Amino acid sequence: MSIRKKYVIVTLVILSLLWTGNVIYYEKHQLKEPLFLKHYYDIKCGNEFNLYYIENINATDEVTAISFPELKENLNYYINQGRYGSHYRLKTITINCFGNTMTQNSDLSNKTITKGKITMSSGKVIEVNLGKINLNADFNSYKGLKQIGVSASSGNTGTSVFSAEKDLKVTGIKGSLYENLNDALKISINGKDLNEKTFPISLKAGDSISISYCFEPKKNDFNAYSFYIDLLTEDINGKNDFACFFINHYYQSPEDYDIEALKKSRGWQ
Amino acid sequence: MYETGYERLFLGMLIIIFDINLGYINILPNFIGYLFILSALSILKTQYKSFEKGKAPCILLTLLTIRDVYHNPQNDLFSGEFNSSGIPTLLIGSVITLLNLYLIFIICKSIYELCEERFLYDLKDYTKHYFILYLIGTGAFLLYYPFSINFSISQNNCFLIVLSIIQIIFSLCIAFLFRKCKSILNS
Repeated sequence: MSIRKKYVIVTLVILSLLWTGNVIYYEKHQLKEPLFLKHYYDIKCGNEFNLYYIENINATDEVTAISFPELKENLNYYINQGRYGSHYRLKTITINCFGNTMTQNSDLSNKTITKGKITMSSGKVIEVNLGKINLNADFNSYKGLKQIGVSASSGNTGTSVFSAEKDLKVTGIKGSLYENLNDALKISINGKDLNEKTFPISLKAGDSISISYCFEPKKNDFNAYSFYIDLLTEDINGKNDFACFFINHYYQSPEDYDIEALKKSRGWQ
Repeated sequence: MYETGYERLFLGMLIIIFDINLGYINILPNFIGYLFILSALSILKTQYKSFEKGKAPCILLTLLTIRDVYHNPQNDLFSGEFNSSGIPTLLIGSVITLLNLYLIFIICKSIYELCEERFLYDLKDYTKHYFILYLIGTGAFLLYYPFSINFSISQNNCFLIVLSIIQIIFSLCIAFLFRKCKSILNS
């Protein structure tokens, strides 16, 4: 019972080549710092919102703090573990606005966040482009339409069902991001696609109206979106009001992102 | 006379195959298994000189596996939780696997030659066949390690579960071979 030296040497050479090749491939996929997504958000009513970033799966230098240079107030936050892929993990920073009063007098109302200052565990501080996050202090009291049901799927579709609390007309839809995303966002009301003849829709008290959406960003659009679409209403006295439904989209697995395309868009080598 | 030696080889293999983890501590770390094997080789070298060649890799393995005392509770293959290991950890793992294979080869070769001297052809064949199985199982792990740094967690879990089950079976074959030698090669 013996093993020829020749086979041992060939095996060791093959193993060395396999290790070298895999280490080179691995190193080629390493990020020099966390890669933050661009976020296009309309945040209302003092809600929480999430910021997403991609880092190396074995990163030892991690994000520990975030602040927003464009705001005078510091916002509370916590960092979640997120989802793992082959080389990367997608992590979430949940920004909590509950402690801040989102009223018209607050420093936060009608502010836009585009940049973040990130502190790493090594002490390094980096400034990142976060996209465009609108903080709005508008409140929706649902005087006309009351949301009675909502569903959403990971296939970027969702439905909200509203019930009219009084006789009113739905006169249109509006959203600050809606106009920019016209091609990506398809909305249908009561099962019919929107067209120029959709509005106004008359509702009696107790009638329900169902709004469905399908959000399909362009092929290399890896931005995160979170915004409200307002359903504009007018009651029999001519009083205008609105009800809103929420659309949220981001790719949940780090495997869904084209990291090279993201790096290129940030001007990284 | 040499029963104790083979018994210790058998126990050492069992300790290397199985881990009992309590929180952050592995109460059956592999270095204890290698100490058993080292002690066995000291006894068996008087029966057949070739066993002595296993001492050097056994000492190295004892030193390399001292850190096995620490267990990361987040690494639990049966619940599907397995954090990605860094490259240095996997490289050390590969070296340990290679040294372990070499050690088992020396022991099995010594048993094989001893059986040839004593015309114990059945045991000789068992030794050769079980070692080939062990070689295949270990070889699969050695091939898997470099690719694992580029696999996703779910891919790693799949490979690890399958390869681990195969390797446990083949390692148990080697352990029971040593047990069999206790009754046949005890003089």
